[in-house]
Amino acid sequence: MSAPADRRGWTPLWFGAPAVLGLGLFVVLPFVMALILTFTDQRLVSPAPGAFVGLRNYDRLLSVSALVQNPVRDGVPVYARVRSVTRTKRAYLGYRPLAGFGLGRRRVTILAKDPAFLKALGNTFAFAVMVVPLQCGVALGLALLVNAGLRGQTVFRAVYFSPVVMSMVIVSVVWAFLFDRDLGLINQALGALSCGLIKPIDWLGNPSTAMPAIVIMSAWQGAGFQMLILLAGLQGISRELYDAARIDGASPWQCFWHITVPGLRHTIGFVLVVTTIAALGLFTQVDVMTGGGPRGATATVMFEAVQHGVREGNIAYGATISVVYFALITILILIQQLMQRRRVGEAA
Amino acid sequence: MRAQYHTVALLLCSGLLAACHAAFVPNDRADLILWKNQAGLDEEAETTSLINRFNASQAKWRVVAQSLPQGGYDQSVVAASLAGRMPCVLAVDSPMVASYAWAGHLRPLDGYVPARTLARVSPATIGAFAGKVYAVGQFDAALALYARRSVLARMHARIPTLDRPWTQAEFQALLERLKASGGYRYPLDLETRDDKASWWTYAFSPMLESFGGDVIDRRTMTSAEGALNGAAAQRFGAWFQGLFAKGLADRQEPDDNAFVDGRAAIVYTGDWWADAYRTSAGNDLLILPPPDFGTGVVIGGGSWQWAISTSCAHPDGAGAFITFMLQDRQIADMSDATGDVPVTEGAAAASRDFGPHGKSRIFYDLMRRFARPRPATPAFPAIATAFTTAMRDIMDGKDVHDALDDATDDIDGTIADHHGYATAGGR
Amino acid sequence: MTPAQRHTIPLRLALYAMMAVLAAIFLFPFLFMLASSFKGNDAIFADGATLRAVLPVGDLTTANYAHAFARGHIGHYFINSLVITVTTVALGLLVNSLAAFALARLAWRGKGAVLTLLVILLVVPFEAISVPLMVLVAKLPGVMFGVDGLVLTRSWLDTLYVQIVPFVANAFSIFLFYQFFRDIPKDFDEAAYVDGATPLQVYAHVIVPASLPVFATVTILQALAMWNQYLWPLITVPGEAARPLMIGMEQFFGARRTAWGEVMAYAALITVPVLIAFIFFQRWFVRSVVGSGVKG
Repeated sequence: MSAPADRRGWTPLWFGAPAVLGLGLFVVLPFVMALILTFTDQRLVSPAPGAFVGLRNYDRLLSVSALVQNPVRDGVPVYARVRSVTRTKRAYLGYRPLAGFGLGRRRVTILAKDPAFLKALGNTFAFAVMVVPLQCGVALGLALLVNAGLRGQTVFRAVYFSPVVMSMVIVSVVWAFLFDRDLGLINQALGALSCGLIKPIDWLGNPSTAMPAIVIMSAWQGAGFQMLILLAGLQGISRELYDAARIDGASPWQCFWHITVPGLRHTIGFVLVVTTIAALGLFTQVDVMTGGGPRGATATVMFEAVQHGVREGNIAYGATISVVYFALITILILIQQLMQRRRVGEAA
Repeated sequence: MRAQYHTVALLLCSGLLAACHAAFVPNDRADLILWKNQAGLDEEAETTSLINRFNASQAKWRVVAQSLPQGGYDQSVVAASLAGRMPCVLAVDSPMVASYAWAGHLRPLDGYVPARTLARVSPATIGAFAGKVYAVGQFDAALALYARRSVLARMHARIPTLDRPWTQAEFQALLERLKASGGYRYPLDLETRDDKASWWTYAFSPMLESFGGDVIDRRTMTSAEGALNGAAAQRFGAWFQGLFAKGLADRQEPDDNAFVDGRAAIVYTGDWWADAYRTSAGNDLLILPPPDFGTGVVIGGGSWQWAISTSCAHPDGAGAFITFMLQDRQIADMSDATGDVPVTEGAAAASRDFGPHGKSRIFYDLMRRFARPRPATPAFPAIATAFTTAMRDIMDGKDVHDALDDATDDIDGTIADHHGYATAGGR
Repeated sequence: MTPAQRHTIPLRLALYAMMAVLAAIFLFPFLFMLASSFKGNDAIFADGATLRAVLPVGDLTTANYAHAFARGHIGHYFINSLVITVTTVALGLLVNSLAAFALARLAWRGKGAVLTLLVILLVVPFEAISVPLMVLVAKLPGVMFGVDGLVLTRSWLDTLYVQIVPFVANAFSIFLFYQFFRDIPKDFDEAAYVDGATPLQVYAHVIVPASLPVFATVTILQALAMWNQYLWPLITVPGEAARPLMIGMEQFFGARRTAWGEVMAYAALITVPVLIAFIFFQRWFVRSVVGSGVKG
């Protein structure tokens, strides 16, 4: 269907110009500056602009290697300390152990120049995988509840939304209390509910429970945000569709599955994308609750970026982390878009 | 129509008034912009009255203060220097003095603050780099152990004094007895709840030094090898790890109140808690020196200090302000208002609580005798981050030698990246 | 029959019960904050381990609130935050919805690429660009009200507009508008064009009235983001003249002993108005949707 002449041509430009200007100047430009920064050794407090160092920052961030060691003596396998090798042999200078495993009589250690970053990368993806279904599921449930037409639902909406409004500092103080092993209410409640079977868990001090604790707190804090977006989507589904279905004798479950879900398709998709992106950029919760610990178990990519960039003053390295993170996500998005287009192409 | 006339008349009058005002207000004072960190409302109030007193005491300059949150302080300074809007006088956290000086943001105090004034001040509160003095503090802080007399008596423990502090063995034995007695969740509170690098470095690098190690080899200031990962440091790391492994200290207390609540018997923290503990424990409170782990008691030295920026148009005014601030009377007033430790003997004598028989005298003595400043090097942010990461990992069970090696490598790498900061040194 | 009337009584009770349990879980820290704002430091920690934490019991005092007003300059910071929030949101609604309209409703080449670019921009976390952006605004020429009127300055630092202008254009808002606009049937547009309307008129008279829910949503979300802004003003607004609320809260953390009671009082003063505004704003949001009757 052909559009009138003035729907094409320059009109879109005028409509989009202010946004393009704003985004270009205040998002794209600083990002490009950050990109340039990654090729220097610029520090936050320093007498001169950083010197050009080429790919040194990327090398320090991403290099991996491996070390194969034979046992020091026969009998019980004992190996030389990995660091005594990496700190003395030229080929391994700058590397640290990331993970190790046995291969026959030999020990293989995977080395990386920045194992903390690689670990943070893993943590970040694990976090996203855990929090996105939880947060979006809860948000959908809440949105359905407060859209059911019950009286007082506007107050409930505000209640479910209140964590989003609260300052992160206060939220983390409260949750740190809740998660405390001996004094926290969560352990007390778990103990009471299980009649003492569940022993107190050191939520934030145990590497295996620290990330789940952050997941729970993040989902709790963010659910209200997604709930609001899903509500907007729900409001957009015509009531008449539901009325017609009910006249035809459809059950609530059928209504949900055949009217609500398809009507929310775009909104749910949007919520999933946005929650995933926010999850991958997780910073404040980790910074305030655990400081990346214990032993890097909760460190995320952006946490590492801020630690190195701002706290340590190494803004070039921090920018490198941000750029690599951004590149990874962009590649994922592009792959997803390509797959979607191909699917649409195949369907056509 | 009338409305228009009214508006025009109003505008004309206000214009005239503004012009007259500008003409009559005497504006012969030079404005000195001052930046300080926010450190609590008491200190704010006292600094404001200090500034008012200075402004009233002379007619050449007027100090105008701005108070910034500590969280973004460094970045605000950098932003201001980029924009050419640096303040004239600025407060600098003592370990950052070397960084700012190296970056060219500060000018030496030489010539603006008399040498004899600086000589009166406790050495730990002078911020020097590469042989020049760039900053001086009006007050300092002191770390101590707090305990209850009744508890020590029950444990048959000796009460340590400044001349005879606890040895490592005594301290360890006491903690283990306290734990065994069953009355304490974690007998020792090390305030590890605060995970900021500034606290960990300030609180625990002195212990490292008491063991015989250091965060950097201060003779060369270019490497931490041997100091941070040598035998002494490894002994420190092992002892530190043992505290948590044996349940003598909690990796993260839920709040700051362990000592007040009686969940901890001994707490290692600074003078800023003294009032709260006095209220809670009354006469039962003991303020004790930290243990001597081998080479003598060491506590952290240097709090926020005052410096003059390079771009200040009136450095003599800034110098006059700093000199004014270092008068014994001004220091004493600040100490009385905030409880911070005064930096000169005269001020201590003039103050309410730090005089020879004052209730907080011990903090002054601790500071004078045992305070050692953190190393004056632009690499300090890297040192602090590396040390804190290593200690937190050690607390959580990482191999001590590995953790210390990693920290050493990080520090050495940073220094090497900057070719030793050209001017190595600054004792 | 209204939706509410359709539910049977047992179902309604079950739903209410569920909502109440969830409400307790979600309301917990808010109640903690409120209760603590009336207590002193010691009381807060003493009660912290029990349910008393959320109950205003024990020695209650309004001293914290008095301090927040007297020593906290909260009135001044409140006005700053209000100006920043209202301006950014108002400008943002216009700028971002226009851009989304161009994406959703106008035909031009390269739309797919721009859309992908938009999603990619969503990925850029603020911490990644905060330092370069700071360097940028430190050197951008700006204006200021000086002693003699409008004065040209060499940087944007320490102003209200440095907290507004970089945030008007917002990829997230554009995306949200775009998704919503896509779902509006094109028939209305076509009808308008047939009647000779310009794209701007279609935007103003067809799309906007049909999109009030998403306008409301974007308003709420953007307003919240601007109200809670912390990192950016921390590094670009050292002075107190243009300081917003969240930075104001820092003054209670300063030293080494945090004045938790005052922090809670200050936080309550920041949070409660937002929630009240949210409740009122919601009523408008729901009523407008019910009244618009667009879909179907």
